[in-house]
Amino acid sequence: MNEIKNPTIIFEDSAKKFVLELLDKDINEEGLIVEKGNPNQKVLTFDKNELYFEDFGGVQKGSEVFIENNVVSLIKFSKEVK
Amino acid sequence: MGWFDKLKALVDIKIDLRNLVQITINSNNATNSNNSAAFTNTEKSLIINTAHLSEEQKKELKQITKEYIEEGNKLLKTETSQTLHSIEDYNRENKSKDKQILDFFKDVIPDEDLDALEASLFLRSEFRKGNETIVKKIKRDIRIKFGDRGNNISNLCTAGYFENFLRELYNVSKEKEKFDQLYESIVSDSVLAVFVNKEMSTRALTEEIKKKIEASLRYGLEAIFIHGIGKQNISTIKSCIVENKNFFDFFEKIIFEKENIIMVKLLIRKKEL
Repeated sequence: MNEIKNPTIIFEDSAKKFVLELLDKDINEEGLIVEKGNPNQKVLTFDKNELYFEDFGGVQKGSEVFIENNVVSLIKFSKEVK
Repeated sequence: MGWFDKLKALVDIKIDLRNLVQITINSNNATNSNNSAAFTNTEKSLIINTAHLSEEQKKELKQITKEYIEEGNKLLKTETSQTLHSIEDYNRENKSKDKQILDFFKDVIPDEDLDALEASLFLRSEFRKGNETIVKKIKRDIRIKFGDRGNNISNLCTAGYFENFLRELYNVSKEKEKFDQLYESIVSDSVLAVFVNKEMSTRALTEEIKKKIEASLRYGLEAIFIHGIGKQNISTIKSCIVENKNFFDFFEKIIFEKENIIMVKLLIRKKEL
């Protein structure tokens, strides 16, 4: 029997803030994504870089893995994170 | 009750979600319709506009999306999702030949340059397929990460210099240090080639060519190359050669032109005393 596949969810640029809110994240004065409860704690991408709101590309795995919308970063992501 | 069942409960009951493949969330305040819909759909896609959800609905959607992520799904921005799909397609289709190039340069060039080269090989693949939109994004992203150096690497890569010139250069260099010096001059100062862009005037191009010739003589290179893609850039190169006829007549020129690409090879001879 064929398994019915659930659809994929994606978001447009206009919904980035909405997505960050559901992940309990905020944006500091420099434009970096930070923890809502602890603004001094900057969110890091999977390859340990700070992440600007304008570069936010998405998340994986329970919001632990933040993804930057940059091809160089995405190439690494495609190899390292399954 | 899974996240998708909860979503079905949230969405207008008249919308058929049976064949749904994709859900897109936006927060678009602008509207040109009196009936500002929170949910719009085709057979396979559903668009949810959070700007037209109640606070309660927003709260529910946030919870549903959280559960979607916690199930192990990636939640990606539209452009990121498209780019990642392209990268995955490229990895499947092209990797072996380009991997050979990367494997060769792995312990030969700096790690950051290798990352730039890897992205540039992907850029080249998309360029050859004619995927203009993603090509622009890849070029921009390489420049953001690696600056002018990255831009030089992507130009050199697209023109085949890594496998057709630099690999050969490494193989014939007796000392790594000599290769490193020449490599550095080619990549950071771009001594070997001029890549014409639409912002370049014929005057700027002439100056650039003269600088490259001087630098190439210092490094003992026998030729420099001038590349142009597109009608405007081809025209700039041809105008430059015509306007500076006396100067360019001093050099042997080999001109290769096909469809929308031009390459001019200028053979540099040392002046005889």
